[in-house]
Amino acid sequence: MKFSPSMMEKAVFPSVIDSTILLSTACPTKFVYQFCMGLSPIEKSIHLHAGGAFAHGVEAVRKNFYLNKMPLDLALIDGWRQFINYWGEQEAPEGSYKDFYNVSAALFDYFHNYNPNTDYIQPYIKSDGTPAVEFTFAIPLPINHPDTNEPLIYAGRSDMIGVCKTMGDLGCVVDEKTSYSFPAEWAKLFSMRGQFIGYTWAAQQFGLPVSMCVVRGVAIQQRSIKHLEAIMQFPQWQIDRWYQEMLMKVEYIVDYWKKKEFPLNYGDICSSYGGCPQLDLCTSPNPEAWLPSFAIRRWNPLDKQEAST
Amino acid sequence: MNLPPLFDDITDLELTMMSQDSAVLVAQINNLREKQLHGGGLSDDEVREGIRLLNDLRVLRAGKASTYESRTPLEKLF
Repeated sequence: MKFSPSMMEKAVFPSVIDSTILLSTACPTKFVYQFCMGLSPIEKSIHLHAGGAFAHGVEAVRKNFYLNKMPLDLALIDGWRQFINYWGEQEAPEGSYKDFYNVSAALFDYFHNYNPNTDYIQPYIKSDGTPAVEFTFAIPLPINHPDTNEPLIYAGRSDMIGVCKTMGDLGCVVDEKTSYSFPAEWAKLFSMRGQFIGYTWAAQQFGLPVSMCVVRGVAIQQRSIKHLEAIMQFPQWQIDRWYQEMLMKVEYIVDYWKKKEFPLNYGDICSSYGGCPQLDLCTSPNPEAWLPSFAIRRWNPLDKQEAST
Repeated sequence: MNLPPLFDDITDLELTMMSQDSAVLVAQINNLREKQLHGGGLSDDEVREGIRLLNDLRVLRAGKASTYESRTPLEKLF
């Protein structure tokens, strides 16, 4: 697909790449709409907002407890204040369980289930003596930006770098995921998730002894909050293979950008995650006419307040 | 009234009472939210009160206390 010159004027190739952007390489047209033009649904997804608020609350409690050495009760009290500030005035759509009240309850229940005083995963202590209660990275790639010619950056944020006390202090990336439920074989969903292999690769680039990832799932339901862990050990060959594939995908979208011609997926990506938000653009002979029905939100992987996907 | 199926096993009267109680709890929690966002912030005691209200709301929404394990997260954590 070729975009009109007026459409391409609104598009900027991102300087910072992450696992979310790489997912869109399955549909280069979606990559342009979403990540070069920033076209997003006007209403922010409650799933993203709730997940972001939950992660923000968990991070605040961890920082209070591990960095500021607060007792757990005070760490939680201040954590909820920060959670409220993040959540702001947003209201969940009718029928959504991921409202302010249930996600607040999930935050407290999380620390009931994984009490930092006794949790078998404790933060990794960095060389400067501080606990790695958040891990943000931005690593230059050996591929240059198609317009600026500066190195592209691979970036991301994971919730914690930890050590497993029950596994001989084995290093791990820790990340929380909120959902409505745990489908059968939930843990298997993450065994090939580039996001987590990418976090593991990034931690290794900083010299951290990490080859494992622990995803802590929190299912927010009307009757209860449920917790489940997925533990993935990534052998070095798998991490190395991910890195090579990641570079291939980045080169792939750079090449399409240079050619200014972008294929469409015509497959599952059009219907996954509740349907592609940009679908109307692809089914219209005049996509430009649909632009006013979108908000412009530029995705920045390093921004703590998430944009829309 | 359009309610999720988890409330199927209770009477209309109980349902009405729960809806009213739930609305009161939500209003009380929202007052605290408002104070945190625009009213100069919450004291530690106000946060504790907010967490107690949240827990009551959770128990109410579960339909029966036992289905939420009668859990008071704050009490168990503190």
